Order: sequence, then C-alpha cells, then structure tokens
Amino acid sequence: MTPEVEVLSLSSHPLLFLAAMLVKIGVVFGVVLFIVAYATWVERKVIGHMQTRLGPMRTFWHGLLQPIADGMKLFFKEDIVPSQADKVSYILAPMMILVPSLITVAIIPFGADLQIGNYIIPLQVAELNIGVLYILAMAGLGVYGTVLAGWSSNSKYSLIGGVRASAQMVSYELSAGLAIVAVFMLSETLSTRGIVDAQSASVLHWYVFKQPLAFCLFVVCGLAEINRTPFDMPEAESELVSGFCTEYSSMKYALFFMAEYANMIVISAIAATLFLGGWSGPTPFGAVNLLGKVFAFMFFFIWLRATFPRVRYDQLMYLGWKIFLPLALANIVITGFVVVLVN
Amino acid sequence: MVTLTIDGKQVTVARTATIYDAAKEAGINIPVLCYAKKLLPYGACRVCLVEVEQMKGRLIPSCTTPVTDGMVVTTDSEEIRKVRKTVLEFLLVNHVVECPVCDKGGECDLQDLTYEYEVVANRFQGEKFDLPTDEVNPLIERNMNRCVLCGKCVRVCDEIVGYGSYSFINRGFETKIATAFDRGLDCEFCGQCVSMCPVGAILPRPFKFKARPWQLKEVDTVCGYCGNGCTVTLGVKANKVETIRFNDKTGVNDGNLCIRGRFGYSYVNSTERLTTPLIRKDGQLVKAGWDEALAAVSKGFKAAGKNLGIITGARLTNEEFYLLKKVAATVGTTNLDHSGGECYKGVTEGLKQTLGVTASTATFPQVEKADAILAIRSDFYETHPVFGMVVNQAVKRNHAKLSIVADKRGKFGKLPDARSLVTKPGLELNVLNGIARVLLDEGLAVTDGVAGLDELKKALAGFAPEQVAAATGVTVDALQQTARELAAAKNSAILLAYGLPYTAYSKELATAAANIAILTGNAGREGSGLYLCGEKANSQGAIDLAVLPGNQGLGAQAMLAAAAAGQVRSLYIVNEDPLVSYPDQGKVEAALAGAEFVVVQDLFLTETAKQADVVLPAASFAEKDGTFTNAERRLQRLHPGITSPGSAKTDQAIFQALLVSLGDKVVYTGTEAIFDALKAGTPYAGIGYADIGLQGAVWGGDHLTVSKQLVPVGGGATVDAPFQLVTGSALYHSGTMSTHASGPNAVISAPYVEFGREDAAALQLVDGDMVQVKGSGCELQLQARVDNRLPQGVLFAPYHFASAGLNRLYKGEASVAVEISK
Amino acid sequence: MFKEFIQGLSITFKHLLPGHSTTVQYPDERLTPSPRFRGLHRLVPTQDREKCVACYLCPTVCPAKCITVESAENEKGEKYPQVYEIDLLRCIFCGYCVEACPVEALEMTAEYELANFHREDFKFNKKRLLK
Repeated sequence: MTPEVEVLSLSSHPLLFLAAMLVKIGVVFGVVLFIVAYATWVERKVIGHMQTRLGPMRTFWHGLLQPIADGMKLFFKEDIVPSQADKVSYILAPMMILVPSLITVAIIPFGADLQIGNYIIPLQVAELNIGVLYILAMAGLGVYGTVLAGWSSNSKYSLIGGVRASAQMVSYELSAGLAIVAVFMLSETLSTRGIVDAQSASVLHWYVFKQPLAFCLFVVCGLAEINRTPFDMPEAESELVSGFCTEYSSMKYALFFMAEYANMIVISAIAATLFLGGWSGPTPFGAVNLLGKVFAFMFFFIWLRATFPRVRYDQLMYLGWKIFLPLALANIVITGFVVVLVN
Repeated sequence: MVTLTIDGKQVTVARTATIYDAAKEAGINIPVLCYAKKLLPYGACRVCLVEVEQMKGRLIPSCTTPVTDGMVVTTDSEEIRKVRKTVLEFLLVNHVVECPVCDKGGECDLQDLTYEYEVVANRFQGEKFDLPTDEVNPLIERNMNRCVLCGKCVRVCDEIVGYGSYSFINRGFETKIATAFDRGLDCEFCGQCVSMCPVGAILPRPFKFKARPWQLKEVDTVCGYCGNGCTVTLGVKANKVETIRFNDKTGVNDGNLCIRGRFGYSYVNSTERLTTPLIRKDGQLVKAGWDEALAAVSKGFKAAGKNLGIITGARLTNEEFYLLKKVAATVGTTNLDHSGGECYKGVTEGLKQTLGVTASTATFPQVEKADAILAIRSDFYETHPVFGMVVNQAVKRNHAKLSIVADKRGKFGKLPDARSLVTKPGLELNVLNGIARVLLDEGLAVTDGVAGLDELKKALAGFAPEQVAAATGVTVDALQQTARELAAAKNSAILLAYGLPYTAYSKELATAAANIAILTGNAGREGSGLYLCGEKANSQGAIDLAVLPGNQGLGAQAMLAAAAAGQVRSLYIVNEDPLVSYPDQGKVEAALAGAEFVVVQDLFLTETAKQADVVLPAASFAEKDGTFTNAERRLQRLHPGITSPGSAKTDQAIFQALLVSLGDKVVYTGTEAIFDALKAGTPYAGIGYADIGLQGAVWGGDHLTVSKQLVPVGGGATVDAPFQLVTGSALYHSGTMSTHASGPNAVISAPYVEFGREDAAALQLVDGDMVQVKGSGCELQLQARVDNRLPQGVLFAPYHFASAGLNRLYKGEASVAVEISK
Repeated sequence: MFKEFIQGLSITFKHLLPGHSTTVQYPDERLTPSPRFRGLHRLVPTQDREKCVACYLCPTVCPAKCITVESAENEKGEKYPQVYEIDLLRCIFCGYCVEACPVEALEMTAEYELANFHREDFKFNKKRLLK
C-alpha cells in the first residue's frame, strides 16, 4: 500500500520536521547573509563602473574579498557609545532594525514542494495564510529601529534622521500596502504560496502584466520604505552627516548596513513573489528563478542609486501623499470593477 | 617769495629754493639720485632733468636750478622720460646688476628708477667694473662696482661730519670714490655715507645679508646712549633689532647719527643679557623667579626703611624716574641720586645760581645759525657727536667763529679757522675767567640788568689775560679774540658737556660759562644759547624730575660713604655700574661691602651686579615705551621694537611690581597714565603725552627766560707732574653699556691710554705697546695709543671699560699725576 | 519626465560597459606628469654650492608663507642660504617661487609622491631640496 502522502508537520513527525526546519532556516539565513555581504561588493563595483571608476580592486581578484575585509575592519573598530546616549535603546536599535528584515524572508517560497518519504516539505520557512499581512507588519516594525537609533543617540543629526525615517515610512507603507491589495484581490489569498501558485501557469500569468501600476507603485514605495536612494532622506549625508546612524560605530554600524541590504533583498523577493511569479518560472529550477529575479531587482536598485540624486523632503511627501496614494486607491477601484465584471 | 608754475600748478616758494624743492612743495615727485635734503645741491646724476619754458632747447637739472618768477616747468613728458631712461642706461653700463645679493635691493633708488622707467635692455655696452670691495674696517663695506658717482658720501662726510674720508679720484670712465691713497676706509664710522648712498655701494657690515628691507618692521624710537636724543628707527626682524634705518623725518638729528647710534644697537640683542632675576644664596647668585626676587627686595627695603640708598643711572625714561621716586617715597627714604651725584651740579647749582634755570637755554637747531661758538672742556664732538655735526655746519656753512677751551685738541680744532685754547688740565676755569676779564676790560660786556658785577670784577682781579696766559699756556691774543668774537656775535652758543668722567669743577665751569653767557649778552637773547649737555639719554629728565637727594637725603657720593660706614644699610642701584664708571673704585667697593642688602637692576651682570644680593633683569631702550628728555629739553617718545629676553622686564614694569609688593595701591594703566601723573610740579606740566609728536616737544619753548646773576668763581688747580692722566669719553663709546655692543667694540674693544706724539717719542712708544701707568697708589697695565691730540705731559684714557680699572686711579680730579714705564 | 529617467539610466548603464573606466591602478601603474607639472621643489646645485643666492624673493612672493630662508656669508664672501626650508604642509604648489627666482636656482620636479609619516618629514631642508 502506498503510504499516504502528507505535509510534514510537527505533529506528524517531530524530529524530521525540526530537522527540515533547521536546514531550511540555515539555508535561507545563510543565503541571505551571503547576498548581503556580496551585495555591498556588487554595489561598489557597479556604481564604480557607472562612475567610470573600478571600485575595490586590491583585496583578491577584483576585490572579491572586500566584504570580508570590511567586516573584519568594522569588527575591530572601537565601539563608541556617546556618553549622553540612552544606552539600552542605543544598543537595541541596530538589532531591532535587522531582525524584522531577516525574519520577513521566512514567508518567501523558494521552490516547489519537496517530497521525502511520505512527507511533503514546502520550500518555504513558514507557510502563513496571512503572509502578506505579515510582510506589512514586519516592514512597519523596521521603522522602530531607525527612530530609536535616531532618538537614543542624543544628537541633532540622528534625531532629524530618525524623525524623517518615521514620517517617510508611514507615508509610503500606506501606498505600498494599497498597491498589494490589488494583487490579492486577484489571487484571493493572502498566502505568498498561494499568490505564487496563482501565477505559476505561465509567464503571462504574472501579476506584473495584470497590475503594472501596482507593480510600479510597489517598487517605488518599497524603495522609499527601505530608505534607498533617491529616497534616502534619513541618512542624507550631505545634510545630516549620516542621519540616524551618525553616532554608531563598529559592529553596531555594520548591523545598520546589513539591515539596509537585507531590506533590499526582502523587497526584491517580495516584489518577485507578488508580481513576477516568485520561484515558479521561467526555468524549472525554483530557487534559480527566485534568485535571478531578486538579483535583477537589486541591480536595478543599485542602478537607480548611481543615476538619480536624492529628492527633496517636501517632494518626497508630495509624491507619497498626493500622487502614489490616489493612484493606489484608483488602482484598487479599477481592479475591483474589472474583477466584478469578469466574474 | 617767487611764484612759478610746475606741471600746471602754481607754487610760491622762497627765493632760495630750487625747482626740485618747489616741486616737492607742490607734491610733485621728481626722481633724483644725487640730491639730499641736508646736502648742498650738486647735480651729478642728471636724473632730475626737467623742461623749463623759458629755457627751451635743453633740459634743466631741477635740483641745482634756482627758481625764478614766472618760471613754467614741466616735470614729466615723453622727451623727459626718454632722456631719464637714457641716463639710467648710461648708469647701468658699468653698474653690476647683482640685486639678488645686494642688501640694498628693495630700497635702492637706482633699482626703483630702473623699474619705473622700464629699463629692460641697454642700448650701450661697456665693461662692468671689477673693483675689489673695501672691507678693511669692521662696520662699513664699500663696493665701488655698484657706485653711481652721485657724490653723496663725499659730500656728507665733508659737509656734515667734517671728516672728509672720501673723494673722487681718477678721470672719465675710471672715476671712482676712494679714501686717502685708496687704502680703504678708516674713519670715525658714523655711517652717514651708509645712510646717504642711494645704491648698494656703501653698506653696513653688521647688517650684511641679514634681511631684506621689506622684512624689517620699522620702529621709531630714541637712541639710548647720549643726551643728544637722536631719533633712531629700529629695523626689527623676528624680535631682533637687525639694523638702524635711515630716517630724517623725526627728531632734530636730520637722519644724522654717530657710530653708537648707528652701530651700537647690538647690545640689545646680546646673548649675555640677564634673562631672570638672580638671588644670592650661599654666596652664589642663582636664578630665581620674579615673585621670589620681588619679595626679597621689598623685604630688604622695608627693613632698611629710611636707610635705603637709591642710585640710578640716567638712561631710565621719565616715567621710570617717576616710579622710582615713588619707590623711594613708599619705602620712606630721601637718599636718592643719579649719575654719581657730582657731574650734574653744573646744571643744578651752577646754572641755577646764575641763570636761574636747570637746563640748556636754547635748542640745537639754533646753533647752526650761530656766529660764534665756544666749546668748553672737552671737544664736545666726542661726547655728543651729532650735536657736533650741527657745529660743523655752523662753521662750514655759516662761517661761525669756533673757539675750544680744552685740555686736548680734538676734531673741532680741525674745522676751518677754529681756535683751540689748549690749557693744562684743570685750568679751563682760568681761561673762562680770562675771557670774562677781557670782556669787562675792553668794555664789551653787556651789563644792563646784570647783578653781581662788582663782585665778579673783584674776583677777576687775578685773571688778567697775561696772568691767565702765563698759567695756562693759552695766548693772550687767543683770549682776546675769543672774547671779542663772542661779544660781537649776533647769535652765539656756549657748549659744555657733563658726565661721569667730568666731575671736576663741574659746578664752577658751568658758573664761569654762565658768567660769559651773561657778559656777552648770550643769556636771554633769542638765537643764542648756553648748552649744558648730559652724558646719558635722559640726564635732563632726571634733573627735571628731581631725581636728586630729598630733604636731608644723601647724594650718591655721601650714600656710598655712609654705606661703607654702615649707616646706609641697603643700596638699590638701577641701570648703573658704579664699580666701573664712578670715580674712586675703592669707595664703591667699600660701600657694596658695607651695605647689608644690595639690589642691582641692569641689563647685564655688571661688575656691580656681581656683588649684589638680588639682581633684577631690566630692559634696553629698544624694549621701552616712554619718554626721554634730551639736553635741549626736548621730550621724545620711545616705542618698543622688541620684547625683552627671557623674563626680563622694563624698569617701568619692575618698579610697578615693586611698588605693589611694597604695598602701594596705585597701579597705572599705561605709560601715558604715568606721564600724566608725573607732570605736576615739573616743567612738563603743559605737555600732553599725545602732543609729543615726531619732532618731540620742547618744554619751556625754544628760549628759556633766564635771570642774570653773575657769580664769581675762582681758578682751577693743576697737578705739577711730568705726566698727568685725564679721563673722559671716547667717541666710539658711551658709558659702560656700549662695551657690550659689537659695533663700537669692533673699533675699540679694549681700554687704552693715549699719548701725544712728543711724549710717545720721548718714551719710545708706538701704537699697541703695553705700558704701566702708576699713580694714586696703584698701577694699571694699559695698551698705548699714539695720536696728535694731546699736549706734552697729558695722557688720556677712556673710562668705559671694566677691565681697565681706571677708576682706581681716577678719584674725581681734573687730572691725576702718573708715572709711566714700559 | 520618464524620458529623462531613461536617459539618465542609459548613461549610467553605458558607463558600466567594459572599457569606460578611467582609473589608473596607482602603485602598479603610474602616470607620467607633463613637463610643466608642479611637484616637489628642487634647489639647483652648481659644482660646489647651491645656485641660490638667498635673495629672499621666494619667501616674499610665497602666498602660503611656507618658505624659510636665512642668508649668510660663506668663506668666499658670497651670499648663500644658510637655511632653506620649504614646509610642504603649507605649500600650495603654485610655482610663484620658481617664477620669482632671479637666478633660476629653484625648479619644480615631477615628484608627486609626497606622503609621509611625521610632520617634520614634510619640512624639506636644503639638503633634501638639493637632491
């Protein structure tokens, strides 16, 4: 008799479940951190070339070991805590900014289900039926780290950076969230897995074609949410020294840095999952599909950084509230009409 | 007055003016190389050519052409520029262009003109000179390759200095300036030629390669040496006085200076200067801080109380004298005196009794217009050389009749028609009395409103010209001529210098001189004057401010005697080196040994300072702010050019600090405040600090109002011995301070004794021989110098040098009988 | 607006393509400065001394006041710079000193590798400048 195939769960086979979970977490975590490390290298190389420079060249072949060198450097730097800083929140802030971005990756599916014995193991760290809400929640949590870092440093630059970050995130989370609403109006599920399944039929089923406006809105708002150029107002080195992380040094500073790149990966992965079919196409290899799309997004972000100057703060607010929000709302209304009409 | 037009401007000038003078008055600048304000017009360089409407056809040298009425002058045109440029090209044919290594570069008239007229190439070719430079003397370097033959050096040396070192020799292209037999310069090194040279042909050697003119900060101040009060301009670079700059805009010296003023500044930079206070501990002077030193001084002074004796030199500023008097008052002593106490008595007693004043009655510039001049005792040029230059001009330009009453011949005696009345040492008084007698006998004397005539006549009974002639060796004729000239003169000047080495008959000589002044009508007449000139920069200030023994106070000599006897318990000696400069060294030694507590305040660790219990490091004139009063009553401002070495302080600051530690509550906000405070009750009452401008301010006006009281004086006594030694000041030095300066030391660095030719021949001496001079119970070893200034039997030794120990012989007499052996 | 975005993006992308980098890999490759390059100063020597006659024109003209000259007299009685020092930390390499020199005793070399470890090492004295 063929044993019944079932989804591996804690109740069905605790040991195997735990082992599978640990392996998945390890792999995803490792891959993400590896990408974080090398994203810095890629960014420096790409921007360098775009500015007719070479970027790092001295550490190994074309500076390949630069991330390791940077890491070591940062690790051995003096860890400075300003004497007037709020010590607890000062130390807590960099962790609070990195952790939400890392755990968001948990709900990104990165391949078809794997069958071992009688058990099906989904290639996703955690399957949540409210995955999209989770994403929005975690993105909202990230801003606390920034605000806290800015406030606890007890420095005017840091504080202004922090305040800007909170205003910016609140403004753009709204548009980004509303942009996604249109997606799950089509997919009729909040599970990322479900959304990927809904697009898996062919490339043409990708939501990017059905929701081009939502896609654009999401990418731009995502950029703003993770404070990348041209929306890096909280950092704004030409006016705020280094914004919320002005006072940070050593590994705490490195954590901020890592969080920025981790956020980039998360936004890329979410955009790929929600709009470009996630792992499901076009090649048969799920992980390759997903990574390819993530890398494409990241390259695009880097490319933007090399090209565009920072927007002014009032322009940023204007864009968020007066253009993106109405557009996202209009998009939902139109999508609703179309869905009702088609059904 | 003459009115003419220069470049369209109407100018009215004196009839004697030249076109150049007129243009200058109109504010039009005509380039010159050979012209100098104080020299006669010469017209050597042809750079000042101008066009005159009435003399068309050729260009006229403006510096030699007198103005005429209605003259129309053009100073700048295309043609004039072309001609001037050509003249410059001619000059540059032979002139070596070594501006980068020439110290004149940057202030060279030729360089400036070459630049202004854009002489970038020369149409003429000729050989550059390749003459050896004249470096035989240590102070003045002559490089005749750079000479433009303007003749300024020749003229200044002849017209102003009256020395005549230089002349043109050879002819045509070979013409050059040379000294006698072209042997190199050996003169009195006043450096007027240096200051006059428009190019780098004559330069000061001490300044060689030291700095560029534009790097120097120029500080106008007053020379710290003699009572002449010449203004000097310090050239300061990096807190060091590098040179003295030419400046004829301030003061009365017209840019003229003597060797001390021009080359004697270097002692202020000396590395031997005291930099910290010293306190005697266990018999040794050790370095100490100011707080400790001042505490020790004020404790010692308070303990001494009215038994403190204060002896000061006369090189402090007026403000410092005032503070010193306050120190004395705060301690409660009246024992205060300056400059040895004796030498100035001619002013404070002699003049006071006769003329009723305590200063020279007129100002220096008036001497230039005098018809008859009487110089008494010394040559005067040796003590006050720059005043001497004024006398030179009076004689050479205005044909003044000059008579010199002295115990030796000097430079004045070489002036045209000068009459030297050489007496035996100590008998100058007799000569003056003889002159007075002649005035009375021949009815030349002015007797209106003169008191004491009968007494004088009585006292002069024994001074008939024949008697005087027999006693002094001066001819009857000379006495009569001198008396007649002085009586006939419209303007006359009587000069008498005083100072530490001239203590004998100080009061009597001044009285006798004043008698002559009264009898000749000199006293009280505008344009005439009796000049009593102090040896030190502020001798007159010390008298004006009464730095003199107070009520029941002791004078300097009495203080020294009392200190030796233990009555004056403490001595405060400021800016003076009595062990070297005061007569009778033994007396000073005894006083220093007798006093319990001796404080010396000076620039160097002098012989006296070595005996002190506390030594306070003071500052030189170049570091001071304040005023000096010169021998013609002119107050002039000092400006600090540099800061004092180490922790040395100005005397002003030291007195202030001392006053504070003595418990005086008044602290002055600055020099001006002190000046304002000191004015009350002094002749300076009407003078504001700010009124003391570039020319200074003369108290009492150009002529002091005098009384006319004749006071009889007896004759002097002379020593009857084969050899008599007189002491005095050498031209190259002033006091003991200049022996620390490399300039004067380069010329005369060691003590010597001077012999006349006859004595030298008799003793078979030549320059440089060592001789023993025995007298007054001691014996000195001195180098011999042979000159033709001294009459037979008279020897001269300058008093400046500590190593000579001359004041072991000299105890204040007019002359000392000595024995000479080789 | 979008056209400009794309224009901008295309320019940066074009630069990304190989062959657009202008960086010189400095210690491995070095540029040869042009002959009129103003690098480290050099005092020109003659057979037995420096050509410089210590005329003080270079410290006078120097806008950064980085040249110290002290003149003195040598055994032959010539003027020479007893001290000649350039403080490269102050020097702005304007070359006025070279221009001002009346005897062409100072020139500027192609030497541009002037980094050093100690402040004093940037004071170039006469000996170093004569090299």
